[in-house]
Amino acid sequence: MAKVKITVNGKELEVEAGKNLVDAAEENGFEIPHYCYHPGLSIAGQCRMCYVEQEGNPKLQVACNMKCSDGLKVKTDTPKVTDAVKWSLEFHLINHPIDCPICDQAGECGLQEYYMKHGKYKSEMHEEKELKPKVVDIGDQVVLDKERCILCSRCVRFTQEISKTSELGIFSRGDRSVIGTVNDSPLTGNYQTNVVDICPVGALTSKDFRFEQRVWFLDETQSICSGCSKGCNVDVHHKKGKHIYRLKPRYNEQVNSYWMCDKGRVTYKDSNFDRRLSNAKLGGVDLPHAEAIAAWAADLKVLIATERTEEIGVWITPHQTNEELVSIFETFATQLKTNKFYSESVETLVQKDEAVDGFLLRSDPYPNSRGFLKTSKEKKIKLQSIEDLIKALEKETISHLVIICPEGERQFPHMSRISQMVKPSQFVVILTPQNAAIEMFPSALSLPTLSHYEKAGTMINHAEISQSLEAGFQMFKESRSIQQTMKDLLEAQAKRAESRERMAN
Amino acid sequence: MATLESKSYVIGIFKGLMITGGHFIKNLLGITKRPTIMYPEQKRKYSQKFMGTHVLTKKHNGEIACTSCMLCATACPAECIHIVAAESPNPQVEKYPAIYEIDLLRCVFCGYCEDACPVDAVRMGRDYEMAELAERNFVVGIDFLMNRPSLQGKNISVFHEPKKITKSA
Amino acid sequence: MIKKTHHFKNMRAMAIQQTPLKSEKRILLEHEHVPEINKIDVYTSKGGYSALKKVFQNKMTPDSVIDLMKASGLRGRGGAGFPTGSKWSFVPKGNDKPKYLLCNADESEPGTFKDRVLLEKLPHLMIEGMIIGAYSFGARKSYVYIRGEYTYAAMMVEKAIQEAYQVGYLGKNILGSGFDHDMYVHRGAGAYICGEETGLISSLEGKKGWPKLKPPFPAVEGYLKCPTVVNNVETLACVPWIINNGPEAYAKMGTEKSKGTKMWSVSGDVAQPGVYEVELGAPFSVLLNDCCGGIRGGKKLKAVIPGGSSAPIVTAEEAFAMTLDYESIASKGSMLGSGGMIILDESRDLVQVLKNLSEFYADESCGQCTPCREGTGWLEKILHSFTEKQALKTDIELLDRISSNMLGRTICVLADSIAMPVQSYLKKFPQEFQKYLETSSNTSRQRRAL
Repeated sequence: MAKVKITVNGKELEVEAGKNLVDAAEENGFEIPHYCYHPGLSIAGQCRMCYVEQEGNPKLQVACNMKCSDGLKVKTDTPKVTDAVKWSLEFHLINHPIDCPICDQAGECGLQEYYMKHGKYKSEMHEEKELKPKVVDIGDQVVLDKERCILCSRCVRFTQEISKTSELGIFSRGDRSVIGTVNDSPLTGNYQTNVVDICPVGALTSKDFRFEQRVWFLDETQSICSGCSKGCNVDVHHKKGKHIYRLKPRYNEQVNSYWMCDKGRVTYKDSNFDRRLSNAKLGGVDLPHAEAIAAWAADLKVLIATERTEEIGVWITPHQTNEELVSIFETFATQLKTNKFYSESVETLVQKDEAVDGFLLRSDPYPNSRGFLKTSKEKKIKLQSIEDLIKALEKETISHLVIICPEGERQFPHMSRISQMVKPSQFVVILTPQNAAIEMFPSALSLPTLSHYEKAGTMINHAEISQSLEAGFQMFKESRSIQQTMKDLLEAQAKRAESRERMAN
Repeated sequence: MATLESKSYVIGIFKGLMITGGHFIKNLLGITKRPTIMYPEQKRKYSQKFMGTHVLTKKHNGEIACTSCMLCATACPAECIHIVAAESPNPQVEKYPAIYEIDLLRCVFCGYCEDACPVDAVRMGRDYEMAELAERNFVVGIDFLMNRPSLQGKNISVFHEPKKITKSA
Repeated sequence: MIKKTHHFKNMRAMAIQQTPLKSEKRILLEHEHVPEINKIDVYTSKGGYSALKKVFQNKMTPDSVIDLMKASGLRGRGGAGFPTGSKWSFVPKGNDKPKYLLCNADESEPGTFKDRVLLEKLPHLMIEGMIIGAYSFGARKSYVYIRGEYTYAAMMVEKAIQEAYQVGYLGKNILGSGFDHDMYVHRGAGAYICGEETGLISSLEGKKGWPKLKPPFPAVEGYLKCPTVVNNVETLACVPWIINNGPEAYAKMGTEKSKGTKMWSVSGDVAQPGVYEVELGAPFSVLLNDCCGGIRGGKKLKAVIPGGSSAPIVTAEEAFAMTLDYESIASKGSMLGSGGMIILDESRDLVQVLKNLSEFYADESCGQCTPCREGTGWLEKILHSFTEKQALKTDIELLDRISSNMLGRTICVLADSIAMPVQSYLKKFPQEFQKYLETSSNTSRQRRAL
């Protein structure tokens, strides 16, 4: 991109040619307030907040409709501009209900934010406000409050330009204008909740998050959505790591831009406290993690002593990070020398992978299929199918089965089949973050692992982009990462071998 | 050299008994004002500024005034307020607290919650008798905070009803 | 095709003064009184379509037509007064995109009804002008966007277009020139904002009639993102006369910067309201006294709104001191606008007038830009409280502040259309507002619901 020189408030900046002035100024630390402008949408120029004074133009100009060109000189801090912004904000507020106490947007609301910075503070509006319908149900994801709406039309433009569903429109005229859908028909499609994200005020709120928590209690952790191979970048919003409340898309131009799908947004529920395995269990009884590892090592000892380690079967899925997969392969293939690794046919999933609805959502339901194939190739692992696993269990060529569970219920049909095949003589270890998975194996040893949104590591998305997850919190003290579990297991194993040697001596 | 007084303990005892007896008679006959009161028959009068057990106020129609904005929970330095918000069954009201709990053992009675409340929904009450037998009984909910017998008719919110909010059909 | 419903039966063209008055200078309305002038044969017998023939038979180049327009000094008659020749020349040449000419017949400015006469009586004059205009910048299609309420006018224009097709003035290879042109009538649905250039384009595109953000300007990116010119009916009707009589003859009329004639639609407290065509630069008194027969009932003039309801008001003294041209009216703090003159006599209450106007603009604000959407409603509510005797002392200042913060802050000029009148009424007739304050029963800050 060619660079051009522009001047903002007397400071010369070098920016990309043709870049929107609002973005260019913001990148360089000059805030231009705006509501209707969104970098992912077309330009509307309706909110009239982004006034700047352009040199040589007596009229105030809106920055959102200005492209950076060489020699552009603007000022954002003249009294004329600040006064205009103040009044524009006042116009936004005169018919706004100001019901912040019951509004979910409070704390991340554009009106609150700009009011503190550019507010008129002393309102002169003494008239009755326009009353409009509140709590309007527009679809299974979104609730609309027509009174809080500032008619910036971002949501309307989103449905027209991005989701291409065009359900939303602005109806009526003047200060009676309202956002709505034709004949009160609901919003459709898999991208509805994006309108909640882009709404600068509390007019559109998410049903899933509605009244759940005030946003100022929430902490953010960067992660990658676990819903499909797209790997949308997300922020996980949680309260002190104890409760995850929502996912919000994080901007990544190469992957998901500003958006994410509704299916991906609910993936946090599998990582949330109410579905989690909090303690290691053996036969349904809680036990400390160290003891569980010791019990596992004891069973392995028998196999090692009798040199039957090839009877260890490991069932894995592409839900794990590359680092986790490496540690699994190293432990079982390199250290314990088994070659029985089973998984769904990831090759097929990858080959058939496509954008289901032409936008973000993809048919491959795993976030790390490419990484799975890559690491297994690197470690020279030959993968067998689930049918092979069932056969092996039947023939009793496996006596020790390690199930590394993915999140979600996709593997449950396979698991219930396997649980019926398992004989009492076969030892089953389940490594899972989820509670529901272990119910099928009442006598198994289960170890809690970290959930997807607690993990650190890398995953490779459908476009072969390697993305990293950030570990921000740990919900349960007793849960361990898979790497840690593997390390603990090998250590316990070594200790046992040591003590055995000592005893033999 | 020991004096007779120090040798004979009778005088000392007598002196001591005189002080005790003097106070006994004074108190018995009410000659001086006693700091002790006959609790629980007699109760001390506290200042109107006394901050005791919290009160949740009501609207004029008897509904809870709280809108569940959680500003009290935000302001609380002891983090003793727990609120779960929900959609109100009343179509005229949008949000209300399904659960509003205060852990009185954690509470430091600072009154910040009262200051933070935008709708006069929580006040510091004057009740100070908070004895209970079990720790769990100190976590008090809406029913106690709003409807305990000592509040009969006293906890109507001073504010007008918040502006009418109607849900669309 | 326009559906005929029962209330069409009694529809008739608007009547205007049959014989031209001495003080009038009729060039557009020259043949207005001829019976059945709306028919193509009558129109042709009176010299109609001779300009079109002149252009095509003399093989005038498009550029020479534009040059003629520039030389004539014709300015847009819709309100802004932008030179027509320049407007046509702004259309980029050598562009593959189709170009469009739109005729703005969405005459909805309160007090303006001059285009209605042209549409109903002289549709061919406009059609002829449109074909020439379209030829000058290469538009293959043109649309006449007619106000929804102008049912009769739409019928007349539609008939006239059909006649023009039959004769061969429209369609393929017009008069053997190789120039193809199609013309369509589009009826609005009754929104004032669709008379705004870009609002009209949005409406024609099938969208909500919201004005578009500029730049890009319509000449570059307008209807369906193609180069588009939007002209007023009266502007286009001037074109044939200029072609026939030459730009010098046109430029001879009027003042130095305001050339030609102007149609005025006069309403309000005059003896004979109606449409009059006078030379630009004529004194106001000529229009008031000679054409309209003075103030009705022998009362005194109080104020004049010269250019449609959105023009700032002028006082009686200012009105008599001004001549009817763009510059002189502008020097009195108002504008010529669309030529919809409203005369107010001494009995009129200007606060009521302004309240009435504010109701109109609050209702017609499209709701796109915040200052206009909220501001028009706010002004309306405050002016209501004046007439309800609920105004506060601070309200005069507040009205001024609100309107000054609406002025020039929006995409289109609808906000200015109420902000400017409010400011001019406050400045020129403050005593009218004071009168209401004296009787106001409200002293508290809180105002009751109206």
